[in-house]
Amino acid sequence: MLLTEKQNDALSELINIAFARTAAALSSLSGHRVLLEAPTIDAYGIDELPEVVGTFMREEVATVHQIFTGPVSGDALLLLNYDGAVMLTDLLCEHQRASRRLDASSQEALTEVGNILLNACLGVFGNLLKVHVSFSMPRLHLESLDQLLRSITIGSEELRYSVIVSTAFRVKASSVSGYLVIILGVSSLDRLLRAIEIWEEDQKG
Amino acid sequence: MSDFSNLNGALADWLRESAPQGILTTDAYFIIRGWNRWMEHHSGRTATSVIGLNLFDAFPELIESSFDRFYRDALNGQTTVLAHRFHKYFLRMPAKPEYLLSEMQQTARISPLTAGKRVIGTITSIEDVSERVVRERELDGARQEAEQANGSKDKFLAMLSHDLRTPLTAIMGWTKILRDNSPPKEMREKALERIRRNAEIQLQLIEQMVDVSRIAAGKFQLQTETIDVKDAIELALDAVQQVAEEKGVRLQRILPTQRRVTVADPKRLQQVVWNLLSNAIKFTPKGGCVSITLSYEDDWFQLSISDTGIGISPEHIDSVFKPLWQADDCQQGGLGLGLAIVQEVVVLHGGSIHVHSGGLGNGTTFVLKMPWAAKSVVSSG
Repeated sequence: MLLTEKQNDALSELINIAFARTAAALSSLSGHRVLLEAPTIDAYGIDELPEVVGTFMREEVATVHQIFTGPVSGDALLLLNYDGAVMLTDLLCEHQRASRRLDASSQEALTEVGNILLNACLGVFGNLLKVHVSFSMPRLHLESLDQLLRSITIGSEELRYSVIVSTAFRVKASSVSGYLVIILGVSSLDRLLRAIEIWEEDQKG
Repeated sequence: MSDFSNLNGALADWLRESAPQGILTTDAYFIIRGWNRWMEHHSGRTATSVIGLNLFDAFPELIESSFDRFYRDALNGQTTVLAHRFHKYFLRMPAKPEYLLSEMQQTARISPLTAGKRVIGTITSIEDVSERVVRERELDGARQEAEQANGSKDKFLAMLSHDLRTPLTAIMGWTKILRDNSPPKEMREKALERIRRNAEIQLQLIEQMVDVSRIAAGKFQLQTETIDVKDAIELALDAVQQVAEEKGVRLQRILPTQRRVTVADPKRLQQVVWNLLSNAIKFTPKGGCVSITLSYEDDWFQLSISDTGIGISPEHIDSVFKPLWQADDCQQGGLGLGLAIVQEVVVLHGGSIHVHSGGLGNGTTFVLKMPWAAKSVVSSG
């Protein structure tokens, strides 16, 4: 755990703003009331990421991945267990399917859900930092967790950290756990944390 | 190297002329700057007619569907995926007629268009996913049917074990009475009659299963000969008369006085009439009426069997001839194979059968039309 209590509180508040936007967008998209549970947040060194994520995600995962670039850059991921991804898509799309697999249209729908969440979170950070962040096209990966994390963590020379935000999507009396993982270089994380602290001071002032 | 010096120009040409998806670009003021051949072909609007127009003036539906905000997001660096499952389509365009869809089903992606680090406009790519959507729907339908069939099979096996055990239990019970108690003559007669009746019920169940398996294997055959239509119907009526009387259901016969012969399988024709009559009696409460009407036409004869029974709800009327279909909460026994066999026999004779009902509680009528000579004698499987 790398964040101070103060930083954690401020980050939680910001993520909550982004989650409220996400929930409103998903509610309007699906026609159902969607809630995102108040998140819990932790930050870890990138080398700890596989072990930490492995404790709550196993085997096959569905991940929406977006790269963001600009003064703050990194990778943003929405991680869902495969079965959770199927359930979430079915709940949001009113699509009752016998299969336990995501077909092409469901994969696309899940990509849009991840896109909304990641855009909202990274958008809040961009506004806060008053910097322009550009986003890559979101991509959905369906693969083992090891493979995914290896592809993201490999080849980076900069010391990197991951902010892991766990939450749950609540739709129609069902709940699907999901994890938002933001991977940042040490300088980006430092900028972000400093900006968050200033923001919190401004809020109080 | 020189071949590739104008790579960007070549790429732009390809996107404009040959890309298998729609490409639409705007500047930072949402003035349309690019509209490729795909867009022209599918939207019916030429590039010259839309380039230079404001995107939202040219396509107000984008504002109606709130897509305009994604363009503002794009100018802030955000990319947006619009999945078909949520939005159905991005711009209204006709689908290929063979898909039987009212609109082309699309996914779209809206992104910033950048020059260096500066956002200079937006780019939208639109993909026609109609074929995929149709295939997915077909696959879903097939999957649901398979699930339903699997569920029906489980239900059938449960009913089969129950229905085969019930007459066997009666046979074993009465056999035990005969063997252990040396009952008086009257009781002995009753026991033997019950054993015979239950053995007949079980034989009938087994014959139905054999028939269905023959139909499935395409080995169901008719043994046709010249027969008297009225005779075949009267034999079936005689077979159900006692059951109707015991239940208190009136059997009304409206049969022509003259006799006519047809070429048909007598055993199967009786089976059809017996099945329809038995069902009508089974589902008609005490005091009700089952009527059978036979009429002769030039090319066929028509048999109509009506009852004042429980009827069939409109949502189930199309399913009655499917194997394993049964009335909801059916407490009347049987495997739900009878009507499937009836339909197969009728079709093999070159005839047709239809069912009408005024809905639950309003009785049912089966109308059977059979040609004077059976046209086909082997099941198609």
